[in-house]
Amino acid sequence: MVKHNHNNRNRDLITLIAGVIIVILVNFIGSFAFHRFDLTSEKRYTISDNSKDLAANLDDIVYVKVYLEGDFPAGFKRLRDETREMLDEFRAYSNGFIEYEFINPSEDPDQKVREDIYKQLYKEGLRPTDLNVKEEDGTSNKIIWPGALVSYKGQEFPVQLLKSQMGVSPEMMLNGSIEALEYEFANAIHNLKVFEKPRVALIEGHGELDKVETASLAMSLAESYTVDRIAINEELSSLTERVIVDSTREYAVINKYDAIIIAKPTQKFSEKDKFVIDQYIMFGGRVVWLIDPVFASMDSLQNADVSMAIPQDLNLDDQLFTYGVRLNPTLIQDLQSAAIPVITGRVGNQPKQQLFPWFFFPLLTSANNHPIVNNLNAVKGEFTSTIDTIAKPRIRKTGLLKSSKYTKVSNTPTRISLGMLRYEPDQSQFNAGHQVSAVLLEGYFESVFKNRIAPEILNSNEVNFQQESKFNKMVVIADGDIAKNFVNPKTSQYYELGFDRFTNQQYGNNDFMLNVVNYLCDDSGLMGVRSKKLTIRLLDKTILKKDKFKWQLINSILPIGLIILFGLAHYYDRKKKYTK
Amino acid sequence: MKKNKTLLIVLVILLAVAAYFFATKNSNTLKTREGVLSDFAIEDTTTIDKIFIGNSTGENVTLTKGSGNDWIVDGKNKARPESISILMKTFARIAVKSPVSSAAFKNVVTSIATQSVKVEIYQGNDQPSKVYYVGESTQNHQGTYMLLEKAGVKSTEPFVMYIPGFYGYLTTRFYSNPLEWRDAAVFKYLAGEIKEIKVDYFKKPEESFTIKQNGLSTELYNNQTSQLVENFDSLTLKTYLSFFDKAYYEGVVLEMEQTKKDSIIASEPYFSIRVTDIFGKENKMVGYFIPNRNNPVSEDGTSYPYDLDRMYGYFNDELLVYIQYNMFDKYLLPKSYFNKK
Repeated sequence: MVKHNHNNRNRDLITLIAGVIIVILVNFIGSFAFHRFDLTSEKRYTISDNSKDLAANLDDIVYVKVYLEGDFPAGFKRLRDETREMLDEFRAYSNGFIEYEFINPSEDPDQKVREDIYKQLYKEGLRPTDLNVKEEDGTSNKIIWPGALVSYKGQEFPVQLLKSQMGVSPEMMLNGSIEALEYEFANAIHNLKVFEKPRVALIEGHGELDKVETASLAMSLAESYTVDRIAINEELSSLTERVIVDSTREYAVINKYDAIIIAKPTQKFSEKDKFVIDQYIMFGGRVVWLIDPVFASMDSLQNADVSMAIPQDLNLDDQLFTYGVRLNPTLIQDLQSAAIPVITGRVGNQPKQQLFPWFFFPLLTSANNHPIVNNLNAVKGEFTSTIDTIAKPRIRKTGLLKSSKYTKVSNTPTRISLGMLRYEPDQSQFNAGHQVSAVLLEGYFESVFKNRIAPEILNSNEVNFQQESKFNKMVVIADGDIAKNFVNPKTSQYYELGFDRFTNQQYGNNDFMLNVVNYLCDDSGLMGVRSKKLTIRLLDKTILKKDKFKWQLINSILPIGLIILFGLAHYYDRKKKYTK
Repeated sequence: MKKNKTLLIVLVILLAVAAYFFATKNSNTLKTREGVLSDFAIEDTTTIDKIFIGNSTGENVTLTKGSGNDWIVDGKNKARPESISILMKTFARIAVKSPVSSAAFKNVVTSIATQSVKVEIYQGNDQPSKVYYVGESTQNHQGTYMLLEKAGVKSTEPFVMYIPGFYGYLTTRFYSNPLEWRDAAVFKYLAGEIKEIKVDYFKKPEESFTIKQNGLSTELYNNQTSQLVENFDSLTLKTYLSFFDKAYYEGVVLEMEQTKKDSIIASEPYFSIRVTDIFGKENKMVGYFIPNRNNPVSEDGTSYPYDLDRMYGYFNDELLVYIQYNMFDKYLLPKSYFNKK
């Protein structure tokens, strides 16, 4: 009998130990095996059909070097794991054409070697992040490179994995970055795959931003596009090409550029130039309008305390109205604004400077969850105006950028004075609510010259006048400075677009402009991936703070209590059973 | 018992699967590709004790680890320490830049098969631990095509290799001419190690001299008469001796026919320096002018007869090298320089 009990006990013990080991092993294997049951409501672990197609149609190895390896805070580890999972997801559809490697760029103990690697990564287009890491004896500074280099057929494309956003908590920023992973990788692969880069032109000839002022934008665009600067000069052939089709003996019109950017013109457009742009649009050309309906400049305030902001007539109102928007000759003042330095006195013989928020430089944020602006950092505007949309059938209007709810709209002409900085703003005046200053128009545009042109042009076989466009898109922004990078007047060196030299803050201007052009030129629907939204399920810190002790108790005492209860119940049950 | 048996079978299967995943776990998916070898880097280069480098023309060199940090070229001469250091750093830090594109794949494989430099790395065994086949550089010169072989099995795929943080290609680090690997040191003595220095000027034999060190005394002799020079400045002489702590030749004369080399060696030299150390070992450098080929002219328009920067040097009666005036001028002092002023 004793032997029998002993055997039973041994058998139970083996069963228990084996069971525990099996559970551990299953979990361990599960951490390696790539199979995903995506039970999340937002399908966060399922890539879009566009991305699947992109991966499936690869014909050569895409090699991704991810520089997120090493010892860093939990948030970045999460970004690393999500990156790995995203790459695994792409890899699963790529027929073995996607390979990756996680690299720690700070691995080498030699500081010079590390610095050389950092310099190389910077040159390749990646940007570092400074981290303050808490240690036992204080804090230390750590540089991490949350980015990846994607190479394909000997070409490389940088992908910035961490998307910085102003005024957003680190958790939200990481979440936004994770949301953007699929698009970032898909976009990199797409860019590398495109054999012939799409063509983009910056228009000149109407006092637009010059070459140095758009140098940063041109450089960023050049990674994915062939960028030109062209003057229309009232020539039809500047934006379109007309070729005779052999079979029909008629002229076919081909756009020379996939998109054009009209950045902050200051002179009137002639009717002929408008006609060239209009017909370019009618034949499917995409346009980014960056228009200042009001003339106002900080340069005027350098010499005088007061300057007047006056409406600016560029002869574009009727054209934009026909397409579906009206730029208002107003100026936005926003309590959420960028700062400018002002001399407030002197210390010894040195001028003392202080930064003040300058309400005419609003920090514009995403108006919605559209792919162009989803998870976008704040965009810095300078003397931004408002936009109204016009009821046009077959045109869908989507607001892209908006001011904060603490906005004041001033009609022009209006006085701008640095003296305003001396006084606390009257918050009750900043009650206009969110104001839209960038709009996406999509649909079938009507020509502004419809019913307006001479019969000889209307009937010209070569001109091939179009009254209405096919499905087309354009973006209208009521602030030309959004595309303008700062240029150091002494050295003629330019800063990165959106970089605020006073606060060393990087605003989202560059990303916004790239997204706009990418969206306009992208007919594959890849940009749609950017709108993917992941729900961040964070703990409510207020409740957490209030009921901290309660939750601590529940978490520590309740499980132990339950086990004790279970043990007691079991003990009494056995006692009752065997004492009979 | 039957229940336990089933449980144990499940356990064994799960253990095997877990072991497989653990063994293949890495953060580099290239390593999981069948037949593909991409782990070029050698974590601990101190374990490397022999390197063989050979090119497709049959030229090769074997570098073996000697005592201390010294490396020996083909079992005879000391290797250039800086070149060995660069090679070790390359082994330690080399990394995959990218796979070779399918368009270039065939050409790269053919090129590696026919024209590559073979680098065998030994780590304590008779068989190399890794063999690199180093091909040409990529079009932008920022990468080098390489193929790895381990345990006699070649990778099915070559890779574009680079060193993170370094701009350029790696081919030039793997040269196979033993002469290029030789340590370029000509004289490397502490003043106390020198027994005798004999300097001869063939066009001005009256300025030739010999310095002899014997115990604590240092003496200067006239080479023509073999007489002791009485009136010399001992401090100047001691300073002169201290110059012999490091003298290097610039490089070996490689691209020259042997007949031309022979005619240079047979011509009248400009100088000869022979240094004998306290152990009786001798190092000799004989210098010859190089005719002025680049044709620089002086301010008055006259052409210099000889190259203004370098001379030929015949080192230890075996190696024709280039030496620079910049390095050797300080050794070429006339006997009269040591006279007491």
